[in-house]
Amino acid sequence: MNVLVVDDSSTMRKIIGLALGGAGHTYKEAEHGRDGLTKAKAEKFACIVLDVNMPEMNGIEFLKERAKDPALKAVPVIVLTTQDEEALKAEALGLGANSFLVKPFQKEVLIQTIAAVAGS
Amino acid sequence: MAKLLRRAKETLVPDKGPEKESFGESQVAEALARLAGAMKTVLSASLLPPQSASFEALARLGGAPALAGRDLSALILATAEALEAQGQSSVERRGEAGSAAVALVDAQAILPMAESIFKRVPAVTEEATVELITRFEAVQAQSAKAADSARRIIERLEGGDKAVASAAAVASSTRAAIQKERGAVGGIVTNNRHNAKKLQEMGKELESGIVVVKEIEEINERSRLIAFNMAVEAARMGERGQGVRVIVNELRSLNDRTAQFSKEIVGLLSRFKAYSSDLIVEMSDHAERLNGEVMDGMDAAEAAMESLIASAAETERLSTGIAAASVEVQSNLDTVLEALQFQDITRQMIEGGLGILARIRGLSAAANLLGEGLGGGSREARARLEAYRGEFIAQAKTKDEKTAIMEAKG
Repeated sequence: MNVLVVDDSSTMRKIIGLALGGAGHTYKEAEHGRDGLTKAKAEKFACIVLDVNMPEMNGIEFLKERAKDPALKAVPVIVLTTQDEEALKAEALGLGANSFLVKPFQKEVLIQTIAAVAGS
Repeated sequence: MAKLLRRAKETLVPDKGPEKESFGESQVAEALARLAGAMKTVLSASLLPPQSASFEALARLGGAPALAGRDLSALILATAEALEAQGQSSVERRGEAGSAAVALVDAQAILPMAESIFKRVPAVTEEATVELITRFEAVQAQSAKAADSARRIIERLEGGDKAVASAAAVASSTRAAIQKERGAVGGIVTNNRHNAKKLQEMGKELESGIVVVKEIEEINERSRLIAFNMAVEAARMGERGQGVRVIVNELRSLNDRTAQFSKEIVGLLSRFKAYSSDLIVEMSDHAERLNGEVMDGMDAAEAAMESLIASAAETERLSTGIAAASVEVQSNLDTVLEALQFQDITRQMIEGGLGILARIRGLSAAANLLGEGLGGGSREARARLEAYRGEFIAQAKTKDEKTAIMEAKG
């Protein structure tokens, strides 16, 4: 599967990329929400892994923009954040995110979640 | 005083806190002392988890750390407004407030240095994390390759590959064939030995034949003597012995032929015996040599086959071990991958802490202005700040930490 990783941390993008590569997936990187929107519109992805706390455009703003675009809305999104907050989780899921994971993530959990949301 | 208060208000974060109805003169020093204490608490809480005692102490002052600055702003503003409303300050009040303001310098001195140190942490840890990730990738790639190779070898050895399977089968059948041939060669050698024994027995029979012929020769000699006597007797008989002379002549002719024949038979039997003796020796030597060479060759071939079969078993055992080790390495790498994420989590915590420190720094600056107006000395504040800086530099544990403190702007 081809996955878009949207995270402002280059080390976190590499770590997520290692987990994806180990499971046989390919991936592209985006540095923030706006970059992610541009890349998600330009290329077909099976799934988007999205951070929340980012400059330019954060994850919540990204989800709001995604909701306006029917084509983009069809691409499943997994929110992956350090903020383990119920309110944030409810907001992200309410805006159409398909899953909400907290960092540090376990490789197997991320891979299984991708399989679950991209397969649905 | 009014001018200083305006500057203090301008410096503070413009969040509106809960209104305070009034402040007594004795509360001023207490409020400022609480502020200084709160700033120290904020500083120590900025990198601590929410469950820590410092965090709880801070929360008691104004809720969550992120909100503490706003509440402290309200406290300082309320203090300033109360003083302004009173319109005058006594020498005693100036002294109390000035002492409290000097206490603020503790926080004012520490904040920029702490900020400078904290700002370096993400850069340094990111560098280390990238290095770890690079090594992680290399180990993961090598581990995956080893596992893949081991898996392929096991599959081939277990019969997935016809070529390897047939090679193993050939090795086994070759070993069986060698063992069978060894038996056959052993049979040939035994047969040769048996034949040699037969030849020896035949040689003995030939010896017996020669003895018999020699006995015939003796009989022939005796017959020759009889013929001689008969010839003497025939001569004495004269004309009457004519018939005897004919018999004597025939007998002599027979004796001569018998002697010749016996001589030829003995010669023939002797040559045959010599030939059979040579044959026995040659056959025995050849058979033993052949047996030795064939057995040596078979021992070598059998050892090679055993080695080949053992190698295949050893390779399978090693490959299984490599595959299992690779799974273990992969499991450990997953744990490392999880641990590496803490660099980013730490970075975000530090960014949050720096935000709080920036707000507290603004508050501290405003409070210091207030303290100056109330009689605190900025010279004293600067002196204390420099003293702190020198103390921190001396206590710095790393070069990075020392540089960060030296670069920090007070």
